[in-house]
Amino acid sequence: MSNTLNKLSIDQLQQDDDFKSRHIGPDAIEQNAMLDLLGLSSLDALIDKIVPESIRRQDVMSIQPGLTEQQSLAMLKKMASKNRVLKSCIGMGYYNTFTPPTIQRNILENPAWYTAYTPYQAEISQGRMEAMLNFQTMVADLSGLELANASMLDEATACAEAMTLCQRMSKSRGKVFFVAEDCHPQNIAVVKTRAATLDIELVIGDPLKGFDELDIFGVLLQYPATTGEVKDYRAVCDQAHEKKALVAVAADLLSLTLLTPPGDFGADVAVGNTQRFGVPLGYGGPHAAYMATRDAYKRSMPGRLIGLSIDSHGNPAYRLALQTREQHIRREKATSNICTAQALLAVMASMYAVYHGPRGLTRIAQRVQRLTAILAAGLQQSGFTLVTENYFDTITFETNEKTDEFMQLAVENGFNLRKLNDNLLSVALDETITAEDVETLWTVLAGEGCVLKVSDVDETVNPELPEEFNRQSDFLTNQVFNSHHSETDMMRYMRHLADKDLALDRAMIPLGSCTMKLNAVSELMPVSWAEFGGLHPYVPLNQAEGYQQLTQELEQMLCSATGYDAVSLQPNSGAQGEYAGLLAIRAYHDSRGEGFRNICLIPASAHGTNPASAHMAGMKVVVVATDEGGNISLEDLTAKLEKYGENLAAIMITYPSTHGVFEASVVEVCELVHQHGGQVYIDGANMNAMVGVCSPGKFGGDVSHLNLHKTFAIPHGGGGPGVGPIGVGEHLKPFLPGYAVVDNGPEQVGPVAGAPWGSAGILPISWAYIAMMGREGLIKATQLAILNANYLAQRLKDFYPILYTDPNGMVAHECILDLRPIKDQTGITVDDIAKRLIDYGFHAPTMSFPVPGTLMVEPTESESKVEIDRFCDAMIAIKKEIDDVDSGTLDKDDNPLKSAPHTVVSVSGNKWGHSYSRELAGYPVESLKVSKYWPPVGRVDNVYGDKNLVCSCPAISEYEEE
Amino acid sequence: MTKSLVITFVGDDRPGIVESISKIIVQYDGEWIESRLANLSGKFAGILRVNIPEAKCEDFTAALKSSAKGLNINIEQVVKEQSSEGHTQCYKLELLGQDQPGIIHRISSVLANNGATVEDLESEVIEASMSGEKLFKASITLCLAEGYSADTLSEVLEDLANELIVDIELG
Ligand SMILES: Cc1ncc(COP(=O)(O)O)c(C=O)c1O
Repeated sequence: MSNTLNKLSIDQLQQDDDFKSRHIGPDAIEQNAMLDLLGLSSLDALIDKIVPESIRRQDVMSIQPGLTEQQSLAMLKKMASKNRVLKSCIGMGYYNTFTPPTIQRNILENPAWYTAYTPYQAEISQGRMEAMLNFQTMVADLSGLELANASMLDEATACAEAMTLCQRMSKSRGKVFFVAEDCHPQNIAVVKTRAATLDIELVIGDPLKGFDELDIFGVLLQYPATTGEVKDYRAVCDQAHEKKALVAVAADLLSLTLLTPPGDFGADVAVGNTQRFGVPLGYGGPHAAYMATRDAYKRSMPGRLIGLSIDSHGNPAYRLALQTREQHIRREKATSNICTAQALLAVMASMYAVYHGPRGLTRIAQRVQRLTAILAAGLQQSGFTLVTENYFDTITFETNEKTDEFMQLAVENGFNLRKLNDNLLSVALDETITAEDVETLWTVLAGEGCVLKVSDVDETVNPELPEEFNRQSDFLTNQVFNSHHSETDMMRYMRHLADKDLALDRAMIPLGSCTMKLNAVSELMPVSWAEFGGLHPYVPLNQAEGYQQLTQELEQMLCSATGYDAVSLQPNSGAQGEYAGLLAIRAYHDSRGEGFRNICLIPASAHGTNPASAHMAGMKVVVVATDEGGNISLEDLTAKLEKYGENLAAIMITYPSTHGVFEASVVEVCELVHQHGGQVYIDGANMNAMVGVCSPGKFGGDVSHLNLHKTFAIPHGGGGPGVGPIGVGEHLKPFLPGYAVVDNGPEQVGPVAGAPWGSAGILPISWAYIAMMGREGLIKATQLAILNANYLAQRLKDFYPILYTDPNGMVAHECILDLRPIKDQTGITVDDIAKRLIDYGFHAPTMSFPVPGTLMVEPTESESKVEIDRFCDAMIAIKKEIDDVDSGTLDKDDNPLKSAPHTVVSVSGNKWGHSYSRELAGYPVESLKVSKYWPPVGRVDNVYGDKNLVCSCPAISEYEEE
Repeated sequence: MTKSLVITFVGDDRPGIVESISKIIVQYDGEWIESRLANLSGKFAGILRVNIPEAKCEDFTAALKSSAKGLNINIEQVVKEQSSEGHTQCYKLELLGQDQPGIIHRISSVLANNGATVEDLESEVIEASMSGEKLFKASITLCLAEGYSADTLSEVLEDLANELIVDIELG
């Protein structure tokens, strides 16, 4: 091969724009081959054919040319260095923590964990489900309640979810929810927002004074209180229960190693943040919050729950339990709209507990408490008046006219304290605080003359809390929390779990609507930097200038990409974005004296979170029919507008539709709705088919959420984190979510999450993705997402009918394979095909959404033609197997589809009871002999799992019975 | 005098189930009042209400049971005759749970035992979004005989199986 490179100039040799070709799977040759198959001459011709003329973007997206990975990292480093990382002793549920390095490297920075999807396909998700079951066990044990979920978006929303759980489960018919006034302010703020649309009356007061004549259905307490005070709530629980109300407690998990846990003092629900279990602060998120409750309320529990079941061989296997609660199934009647949660962070927190074990955690807690007692004693000796009597890690003391001075002095010495009001300061300690830190705090507060030594004061303090506060019950007795304490064991345990799973590091994950694209390492690296990780969400803004720059630039980028005028980054998931967007619509109508508008039109094919969010926003859902082509039926829409027009609040549509088609009528739909005074919510989960090509903010949308964890490269983490920012038109800007605790946020609508910028800690990912792709790269990504999908549809359409296409026979960025005819003809179901794909080494496409009996396939732009072909070949080979079942060559019941997936144990065991060969079972295609993923379990039994619900690690004794 | 019976049955689906049941009803001068039948995962199940002359009730019951090869049949007397004056309270019941063979039979038995007559029952089995689990969904209009409460019924139904979610709305 002749070397032409030596003819290039030094400038030409600089690979300026090479990130986009790293992100995009198919190279030019592959692109041409795919275009050829489709009979198209260019990517532009493809887009012209598919995206309706009426919505095409007219303006140029104002995004800079792409950066290289090094340039992006350098710019982010510069930004990060503008953040000032002090030791924040602010508390309020957010603490400094030591992330065990082995967890940072083997979980947080390991694609086997962060690129996995939500474990709907149980057989290929056993590893992460074990980690999440550990999380549930940890939470249930520490909170003293029977079962816990995995996980909630943050503590503040968990409080709001606890409120609605109390309302569903309480036998009281009351409308009042009582919130203790010493809850963290962000918890109160988010609960207020939630209550406002649900007709719940909040009473905020002192629960120790009783509930008088209040008609309460529930109570929210903070334990320890926001001041740090630990109170005995037994009597409060009794009084609430006398009124048939339930009690929810927002509790600090670390403190529960020492304190009587909520379950033991009578609470019905516990919620809280698990951030201090080794998850960086990240300026507010992402962190896993938790919810635990009594067994009796399990079906009212929001969010995902891992349960133990059995597989087809009768062996234990994990699965997602009680899914009938979830919004995919229950729509507006779901217990909650929570979908994407905080799986990766829950895994990290659970591993922190595995790493430290019960003794290690108790020791950390004991040390924190002792240091706090020492700090308190020193302050008292220096003349301060302590307001907190019994405390764990937080004390409040009187500072009166010197409050601001102390705050300032602390900052100068490297600490953030919390100003409770003009007269009171509080200090919250954590595992990172040292004896020197405490001594520094003494000099800050008591003056340079203070020469107290921690070791001296230690001898004088009595660290004992009164008897009633001391925890009596055991926790974390399971083997898993008591065996992996060396780094070698820990490393192998995490590797052992990761090896059970299928994530993007092994194969494409063609999940429709989920956009499992590349999460490039250079996008993720900054997440681990201390300058991003170490900031408490409520530090003064002048310490977070790097973050302010990051969020403003990202907001600007997202405005350019969507055509909206303003963006809020606060929502922690797509569903939370939906809720925030609908609150904006609601408040907008209200501001115009049309607060009565409460009808939300939603097509039957919408994602389940849409109706669930509408319900939470206090709207009534009216379903709009789709026509036989899968498009919104204009006839039905007109009829519904006719009928509900006067009370119409909004329509929620997804674009391109959940059927994977660019509907040409979208402009007309938007216009019709506007004519009737409604607002248009465009679900932006499919934004990856539009960036640079058309903008929802310009073709009729008033508000959209984006899933940064789909379109903008944030990894799925096995079911979270997510970021669901909303973009809005100018008229809705005043109605973006407000800020808890931090000043100067929008003021018309309350906050939807505790941290003003939500999961700020992972925003560098999307910033880097956009900055490195650049304008051209982003457009290219859109084009390739569409090209890949159409190529895949073209290759598969003769084997599986494509359910919906546009009039030209084209799809958008995903397509639906209709498997119903196969089921009618042969009895082979979607499940059989999905599980058989595992034998071929693939994660199944999205099952039965939006149409039961189908698979929805989305390749994304990041997959090369080679990988897409490998997938298509597998699907075609499976079709051949189905044909063999049909023709009788394979048995109707005993065939590799019905018995899929096959474990290595079943294929290699001495007994082989099947009428087909072991080779067909395990190695249906030759290439698998070189590299093969074996699922650790056979098909998981769903019915058994829910009937015999086990949601925590089985006790050692149960293993012994086996 | 006629007696009102609620018959529930479930069994492997095969041609002719309905035909064979209706034949026996006709044979004993019975009247097929109302019914909902469905095929669930290869099982055919049904609930129907028939009126049978009181004198022939016993023979009818015996005949039905002996003729029903492979069918699991349950026959119950309607606890309280639904009075035409409308002393009963009607409800809309939404049921959702994991599908499993015989589920409709279990549900219909609970209904019958708790003084509920089924006015209308629509059910389907669909594959659940995302997980692909088989879901049983039913929408039932039922009327409660006097002395029975909807709260109790919903509790009993919820107890029926952990995996069942029940919503009851006054209709
Ligand atoms: C169309 C659509 N809307 C909304 C959502 C909800 O997003 P999230 O899971 O981030 O809450 C999804 C995600 O699965 C989706 O596919």
